[in-house]
Amino acid sequence: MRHLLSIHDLSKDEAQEILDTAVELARLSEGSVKKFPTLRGRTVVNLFFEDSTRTRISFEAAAKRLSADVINFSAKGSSLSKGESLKDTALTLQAMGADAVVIRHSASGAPHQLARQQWMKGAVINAGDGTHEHPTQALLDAFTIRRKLRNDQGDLAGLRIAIVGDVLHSRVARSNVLLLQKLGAQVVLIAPPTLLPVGVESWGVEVSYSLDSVIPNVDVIMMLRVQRERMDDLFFPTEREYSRNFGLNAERLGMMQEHAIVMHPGPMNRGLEISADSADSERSVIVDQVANGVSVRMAVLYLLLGGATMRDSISVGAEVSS
Amino acid sequence: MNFHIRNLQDVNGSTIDIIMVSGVVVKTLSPGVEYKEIDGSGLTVLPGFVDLHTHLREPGREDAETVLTGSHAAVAGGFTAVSAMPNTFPVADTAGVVEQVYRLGKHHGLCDVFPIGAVTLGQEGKHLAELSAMNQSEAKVRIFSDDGHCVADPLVMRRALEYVKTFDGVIAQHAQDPRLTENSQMNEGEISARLGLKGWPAVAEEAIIARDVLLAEHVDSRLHICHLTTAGGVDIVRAAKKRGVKVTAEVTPHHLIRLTIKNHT
Repeated sequence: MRHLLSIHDLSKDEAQEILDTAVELARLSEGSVKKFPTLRGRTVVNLFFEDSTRTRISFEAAAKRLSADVINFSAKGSSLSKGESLKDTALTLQAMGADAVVIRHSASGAPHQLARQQWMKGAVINAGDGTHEHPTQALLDAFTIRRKLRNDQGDLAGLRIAIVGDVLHSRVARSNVLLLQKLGAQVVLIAPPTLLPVGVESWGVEVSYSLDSVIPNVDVIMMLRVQRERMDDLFFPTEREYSRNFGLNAERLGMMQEHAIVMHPGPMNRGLEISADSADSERSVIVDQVANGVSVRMAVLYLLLGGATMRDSISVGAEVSS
Repeated sequence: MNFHIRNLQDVNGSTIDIIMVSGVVVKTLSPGVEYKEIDGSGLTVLPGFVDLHTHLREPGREDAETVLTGSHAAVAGGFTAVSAMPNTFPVADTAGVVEQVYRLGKHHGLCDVFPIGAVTLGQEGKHLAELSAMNQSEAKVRIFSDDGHCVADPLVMRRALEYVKTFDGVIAQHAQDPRLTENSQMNEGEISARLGLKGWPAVAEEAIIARDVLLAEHVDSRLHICHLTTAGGVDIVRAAKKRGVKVTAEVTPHHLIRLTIKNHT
């Protein structure tokens, strides 16, 4: 594994290795030492062409806990806003000796472009590209599910996971569909037909237009953010109607199995796709997702940059590939 | 009153009897019951008709028609179910209005009255009305139309077709491109040319039908074409049906009979 561009490129073994490594790193982080020397002298660049709070901070925290030097490069106030091309940016980063570039871009495929064109030697990590993929979000979601329902062990076989909402525009949904299926889970997509991509029937998932009929039979319900600006594109009549049919509320929470959990990648629209009492309920693991994100991103950076040569610097139980 | 009507012909040409007890058709004669005997020779018996496209005008234009007068007209003509178009005042674009129409139909009890919901708010073609709310209402609306207006914006039409898949609904289109028919007065052709009247081209209807069958095919949804008027439109619907597109169409008597006069002087 040289880059992390998409879940599509990841084998089940590689995915599981990331999760196992994250488990180990999370365990070590619970001790008194929160910082490891593993990536000392390495440079990680956060290259964010799109606004992001939690993903950027999460990657920054992950890199810093591994002692890497972090450079934050955001589109606003840089040459990027002056229209510097992706190529020129990459050449600059190469000249500065970036060992890894964490990229978020509004264009689907931008991280692939960066990695495939050989403009730079460092590892490329996709932190969300357009409406394509957001692999580390899916990994942290899988980590959270495995932690809550499988005690950090094995895969997700036998679990039924519903992803609800704007699948059409969601990179989180695309990465999760791929990863959760790879790990053996059964995925159900629930959305109005307007918010499902034409061609979804080839994804090998179950599709339903009715949240109420699916919710009693799932182990995990993952709510997607509804982007209010989509209203102008007529995907649904009103927020009211969306919320009535596809929003998670106390009544629907009561229909879930006892052990079932509620997830949301954030940021939430409380009162639209998820009611405040659902978001704050005991079933909700939304805050865990954020915390787990740091461990998972540490694992990704470790495996991409540390690799086998660094394995002795921290004791990681999992098999590590270069 | 009970009736025993003999020697009727059904739609297949078979001879049948019909027995009615207090206004309800029953299978067999019961002993000890008195029936008025009627000879139905030479008469054909038909099932109750359904009119997919009526305007009951209530609420708002009760001077023109009401649910009651429309129901009377329906049963007088042998129609046992009518769908009521939503171009009322206010427009039937909310659960409240469709339930009102539905309840009026129930209250009068003459025939089934199924309200059709508007596709867009105020039939203005811009924002989708709450289609699910109308479907989930007591009226259980499954047909939506902006009849009187075309859903002209292709994006709005696409979304509407997709959205009604949630409950296996249908979009009934008034196929008329608004730009091609601005101030139009009559069928565009020799006569409109001679009379100096602004032409209404067949393509204004056919272009919308063609677009919408393609949209319905693309998103795998159900389309109905209201009051189709041109041979070209029939060809498009026929070809689409042959491909398996879920499209139906209706035609009105006057569009079949009142053709453009060929020998106008």
